[in-house]
Amino acid sequence: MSGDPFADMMVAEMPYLRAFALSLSGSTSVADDLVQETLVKAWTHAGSFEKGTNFRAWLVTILRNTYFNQYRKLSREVQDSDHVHAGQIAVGGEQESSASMRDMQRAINLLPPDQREILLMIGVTELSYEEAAQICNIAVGTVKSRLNRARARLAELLGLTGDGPAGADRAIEDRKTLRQS
Amino acid sequence: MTMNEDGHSPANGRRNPATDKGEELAEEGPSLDPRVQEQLGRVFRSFCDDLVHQPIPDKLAVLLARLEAKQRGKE
Repeated sequence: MSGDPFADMMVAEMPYLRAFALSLSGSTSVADDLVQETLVKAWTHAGSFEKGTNFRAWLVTILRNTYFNQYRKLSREVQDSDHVHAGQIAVGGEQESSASMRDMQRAINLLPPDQREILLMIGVTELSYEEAAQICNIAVGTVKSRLNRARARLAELLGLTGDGPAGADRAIEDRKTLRQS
Repeated sequence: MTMNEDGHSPANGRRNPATDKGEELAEEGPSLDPRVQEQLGRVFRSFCDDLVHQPIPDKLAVLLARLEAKQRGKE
């Protein structure tokens, strides 16, 4: 795209980085600030990236540390006031999809930060357990237990019962009914 | 990959059941009902896919171009 390999790598990782920032902070404005700051830091410290290691994991490390050092308090305030970015996300015009995204983001916002970051590193940025463990400086077993606790809490918050294959779809049906009435 | 059926990332797919099992039981706590897990996996995967496919704001592309131009100026 630009000829600069480092810039091209950053462009390629941008969707993952921004998705991670959005879901971690729960706020569009905080997410964009976070990504901007991460890009600048990554560019400035390009020399500290070890070739042959996972570039995305390196960027996620920068973003995650920036978030916990500077933005966490701010993004909680923003979350409270702007009711979470998910409401503004464009989802192909499908209202059901948009509604379930909003519910999921709300539930994620309620997770303790240590569980939330693990869930999103594995789910959104697709890092391995080992990479997540290294970034958070914890054991792989701790990654697994945080992930399991996050999943249990999410299922509870979303009211998933596993009751029939279509529990989530039924929830969507309920919403449609609500809108029509 | 987001969450597989069993909730494990493929990168972690090479496991030694003999040594992993005890550790898992000790550290991972009770696991979800498989049907709940399947349901959650499906909803969460679609959430992640949607997020990753959000359009990138212009200002981020502009910032990157600026960083690059500055770099070229130095060289």
